[in-house]
Amino acid sequence: MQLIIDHLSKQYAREIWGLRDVSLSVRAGVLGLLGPNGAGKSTLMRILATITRPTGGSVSWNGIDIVRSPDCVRTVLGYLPQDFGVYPQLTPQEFLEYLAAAKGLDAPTARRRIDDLLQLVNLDGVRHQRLGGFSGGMRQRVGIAQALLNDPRLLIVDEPTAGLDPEERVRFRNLLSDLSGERIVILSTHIVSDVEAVATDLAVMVRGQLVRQATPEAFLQATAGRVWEWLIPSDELPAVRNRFRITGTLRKPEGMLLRVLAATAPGAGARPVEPTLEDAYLDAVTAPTAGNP
Amino acid sequence: MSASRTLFHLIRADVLERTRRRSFLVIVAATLFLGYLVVNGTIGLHLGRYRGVMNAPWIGLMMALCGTTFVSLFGFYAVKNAVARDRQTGVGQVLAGTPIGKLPYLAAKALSNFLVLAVVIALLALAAILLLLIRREAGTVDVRALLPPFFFLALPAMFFTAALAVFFESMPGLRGGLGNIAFFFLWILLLILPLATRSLWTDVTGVRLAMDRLQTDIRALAPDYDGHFTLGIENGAPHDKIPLRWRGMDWTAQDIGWRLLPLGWAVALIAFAALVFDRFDVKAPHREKSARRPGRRTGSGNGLLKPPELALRLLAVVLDRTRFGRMLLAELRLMLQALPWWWHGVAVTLWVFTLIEDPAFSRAALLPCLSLWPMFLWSAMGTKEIRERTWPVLFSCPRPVARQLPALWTAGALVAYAMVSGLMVRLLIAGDLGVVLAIGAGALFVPTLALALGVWSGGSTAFEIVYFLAWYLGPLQHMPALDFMATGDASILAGTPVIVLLLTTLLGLAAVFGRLRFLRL
Repeated sequence: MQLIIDHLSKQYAREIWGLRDVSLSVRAGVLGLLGPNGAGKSTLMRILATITRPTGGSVSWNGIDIVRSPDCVRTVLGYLPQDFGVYPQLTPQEFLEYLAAAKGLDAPTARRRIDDLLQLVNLDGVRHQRLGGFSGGMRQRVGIAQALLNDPRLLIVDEPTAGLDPEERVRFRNLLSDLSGERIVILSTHIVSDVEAVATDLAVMVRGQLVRQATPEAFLQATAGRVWEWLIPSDELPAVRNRFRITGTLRKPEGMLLRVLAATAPGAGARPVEPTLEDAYLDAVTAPTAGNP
Repeated sequence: MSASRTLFHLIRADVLERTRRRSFLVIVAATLFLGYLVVNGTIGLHLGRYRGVMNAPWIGLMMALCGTTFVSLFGFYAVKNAVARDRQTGVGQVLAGTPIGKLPYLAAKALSNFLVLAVVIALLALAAILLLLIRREAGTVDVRALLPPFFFLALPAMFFTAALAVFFESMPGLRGGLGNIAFFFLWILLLILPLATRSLWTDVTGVRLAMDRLQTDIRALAPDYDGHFTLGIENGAPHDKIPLRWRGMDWTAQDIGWRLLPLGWAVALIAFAALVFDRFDVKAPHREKSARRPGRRTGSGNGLLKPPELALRLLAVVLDRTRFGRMLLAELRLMLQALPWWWHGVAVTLWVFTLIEDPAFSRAALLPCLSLWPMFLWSAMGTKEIRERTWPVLFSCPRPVARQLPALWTAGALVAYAMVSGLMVRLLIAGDLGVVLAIGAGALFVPTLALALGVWSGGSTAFEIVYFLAWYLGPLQHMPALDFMATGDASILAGTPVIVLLLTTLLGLAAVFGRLRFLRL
């Protein structure tokens, strides 16, 4: 089971790129796709979900080009888009039955699977109520259920925790982690904590380009020795902010305690600390443009 | 920010949003088609044995009356989406959080509606000038004599229509399909009532006022004139009729006063709408507690369960890649399920009538109703995926073009055939196989038109406008070239069913191409 993205590009207009020359190799496990808003994560997800065609490059699923033969991946695909919609007049049961038919599940399998999934996402008790009255979080859970309908080998979830409360977010991460053994899960987010515990691999995108792909450990390793804690007087913060990349600030009675990304100690009193994944992510995201001292 | 500036920006944003949509082109196309029908003489103003000489006042009145009558119908459907769009896009909730009151908001929407409809009337005025240039029989190209009916008849009617659309959007029961159907009957009522009661108080279209003045003038020119007045399609060659040189209406202060009345009604409608408008207040979502009925296994906490064994169980999911039936049933259920019980009740009643009534009567009178009743069901074809944002999931399923699209089309066609099946059975028993085939062709055409326009425009407005116009002129007015349902023999003799089948094929291909194009974007 392998998904290979080779020099993938999506150009919307002459100077407008959604993706630019992205290459990735993904194997079973959870790939956390990180990047700021507008980085091209959703464009990449949509190409992988076969609903957008790239303008350059290729994507292959187990050696088959999914742009030329999209059905080879559609049969094994579960997709939860960022902007997930439902038919408000249908109940969760009816909506899942509709999508099960679209995915090509036979009737007995669909029935069994829908029963299981409605229990899994805790919507069993409202299975006969119309979706129009559901909260954002409940709709998102319907989205999670539909993505798992066909027991997908490739699960693509785009900003899946939007609308979920903190407890639900934790449980969803655990669910992804448990599901990932025999399949590829691609989890797109700009919230580092969403991928911190579950991702076996990370890819960071900025302005349509892949800036780094590595394991979380490798990301941390790359940033090791470059994160500093530094206490400064509050009034110096604007000047320091202009000179260094700051990944965190904490107000203290003595001034501002900063987390600073820098190759050497940013100033007197700065002490090296262990990097977090958030530091590593910000290091990757800001590296191409920031003047790193 | 001053109130007028707020109002201006609300209107500006709304007009820009509408006019940049592809469906606006359909409104323009429908208007140009209406203008063309008047220019080529298909639709006109008929006075029995007499007709008006093609001069500026006559052409101006004729075109303005066509505008006030027909644009008030399809224009309503074209603009009745201003509040709905804000509701759908979430912009409404943002606006609801600002100091803008309900009355200014709805007034802005009504004015925006009016501007769109005014553009349509302006296009008809241009068509009138064109008509005057190519078919003028007398007088000069006098634009001052041509334009007053547009200002005094058509524009007030458009303002009323614009306000009525906002009113319908504000009333909870009139926002959806029921409101669309209710408006059609209201439109007929608004045309008939002033003619039946001879009262100008309900004459929002201005047809009664124009008719009164015209009849008086024509009687002065031709004392034997019997008062015949028809706006629409009428058989009989124009050259058989006696031309009369009408010099136009003298717009008195009283006439203008009567034409200001629709504006008053419109203001009252907007004010009432503001009283009942929910200001985008959403229904309370279901409480999680309701998910836990006693005795049901629903888990121990709110939200997602900790994944139990079933999440890890790799179900042997059987993919049924080839069978089409389940997808068709799913589409059919989706199509019919959202409709209220009374919709089904009316459909069944109409169907039963076609079984027990004389087939000739059913064909002429009930068939137009049968072909109109599911209009809002068909207009969702190819658009509901976009409107409800389910397309990313749906189109990432296997064979979205080879399976989902044909299933959707077949569901629409099955509804069409179900509606006309009673009549088809009666006609088959009577041995009218040719008519059965012609009606069958029409039943294929309608869902195909809906699907093609839905796929290409991404919204339901395009189909609703085109279909309403075609339905009004064809099945209802029995204009042979547009009578796609073969409600009269003239359409069969004119070869319309063959053209309908040809168009159906082309539209079907257009739908497939449009969906493929969408997937390739």
